[in-house]
Amino acid sequence: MGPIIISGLVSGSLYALVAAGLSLVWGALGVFNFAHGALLMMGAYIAWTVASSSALGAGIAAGVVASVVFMAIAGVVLYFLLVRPWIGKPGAELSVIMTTIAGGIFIENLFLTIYGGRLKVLDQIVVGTIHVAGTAIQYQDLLAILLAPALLGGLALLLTHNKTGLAVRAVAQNPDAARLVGISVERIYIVTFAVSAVLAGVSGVMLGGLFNLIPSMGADPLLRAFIVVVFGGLGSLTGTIVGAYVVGMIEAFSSFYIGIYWTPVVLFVVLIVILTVRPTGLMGQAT
Amino acid sequence: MRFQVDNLVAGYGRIEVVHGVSIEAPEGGRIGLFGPNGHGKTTLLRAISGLIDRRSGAIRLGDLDLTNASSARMVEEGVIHVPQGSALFPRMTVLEALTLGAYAGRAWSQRRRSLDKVLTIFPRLAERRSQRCSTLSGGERQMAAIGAGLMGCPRLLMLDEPTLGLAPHIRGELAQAIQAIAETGVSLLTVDQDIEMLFVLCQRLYLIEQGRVTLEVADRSEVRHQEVLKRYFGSAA
Repeated sequence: MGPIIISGLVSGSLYALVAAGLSLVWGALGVFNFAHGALLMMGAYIAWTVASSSALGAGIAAGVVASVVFMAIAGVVLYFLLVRPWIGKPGAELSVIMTTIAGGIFIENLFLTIYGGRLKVLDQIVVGTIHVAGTAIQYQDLLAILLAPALLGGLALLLTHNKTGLAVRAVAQNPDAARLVGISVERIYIVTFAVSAVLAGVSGVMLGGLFNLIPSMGADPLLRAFIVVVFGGLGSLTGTIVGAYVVGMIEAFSSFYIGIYWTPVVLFVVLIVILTVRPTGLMGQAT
Repeated sequence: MRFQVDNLVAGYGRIEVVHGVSIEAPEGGRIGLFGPNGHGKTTLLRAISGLIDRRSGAIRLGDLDLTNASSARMVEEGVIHVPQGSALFPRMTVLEALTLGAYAGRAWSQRRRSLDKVLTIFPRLAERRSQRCSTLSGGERQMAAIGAGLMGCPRLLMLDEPTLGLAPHIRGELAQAIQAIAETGVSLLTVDQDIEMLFVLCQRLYLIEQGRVTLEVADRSEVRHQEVLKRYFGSAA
């Protein structure tokens, strides 16, 4: 039982990190960023480039810092290139799906061209194993389990107690009213994209420490994160986080007791049942 | 500080709704706009506050030229628009929404003092402070919206139909609160269907029809009052 719960918690934490970025952008801008998976991959590769002894060799700590800084900038650039030209125009949701899918494919292939398709190994941020109640846990797994709640808890605090955080929620809930209290909606969009991209990058670094790096590594987490956001309820960050852990746990238990090949089936059956009963997701609210 | 709108033209997309409206309020003055629905009163307010583009004309507050000011700049300068039937921020608490009212410029550093003021004017908001905005009644919502406007330290407060759809006793309560706000020296621009209220509150009224000012009432003598009512209801009936 122990290892299953640990595995569920690790996946849940990673899904929560990836999906939170997606959810934040959906909440504030009302668009889905399908380049989020490519951003995740980018974060992992930037960390690898700075950290790995076969590249710059500056160590994993420097790699993480570089990745965070780079991702904040990348998020803003992505916003201006792929999202901003369509915001406020009719059909923005659909246009942005197209532009971000295209952007994601472009980024993925750009990295494939630069780095090649061979697997790369990113150093784990922490190395070693700890035994808790008879269950062996890798430090990297433990880090994921602790980091996600810490980061997302911090994010939740910012959203409720920080001036800019309050403004992000204001823009998400009523853009016109937000403008009328003097919030520059454009500035909030930029901040939101930067934060979302940093979350993607951090998820990439964590994933990179657990698995290997390939340019297509973002595709599966993106799909999972998309499911999590819909499942948790569009526009609810709490719903997204709860949804991530529920999905992680379902996967872990189903992989063990039912089998890995049936897990997607189990997952989708649960999702379909829940969305039938609650079409707005676990914590979504009809608007 | 005198507020002046000169020959303002605005609309949505290709459709022009406001065709050159000029209005003005002296410092601490109270003006009212009335007229049939769908004739551009709200659009005028949205153009003044910068929610939609102004095509031509001028907006001045004292010596400041705000003709091309963004919505954020308008709020910073104290021109604050409380929109019609505002749901404010449905999933935020009343306290959070009021705090956000003080988002812009110098208002932020004074938010605690402003909050005390708002809760004195609207004691019901103090009772509801930890409730979500979406759970408020219509009257309370309006109070929260006006309260958020006051949190921004307004020099000119623009109220769009503050008493729309409210029960008479709440309407009276709001009218009193608006009167109290006016007495603090804030200039007021009020749009409302309740002409009786506007007559009590305002020194000058503008009738807006078809996106134009078709009548300006500067003194409130009874004769003109009758004339306005006749004209207003005469054209509607």
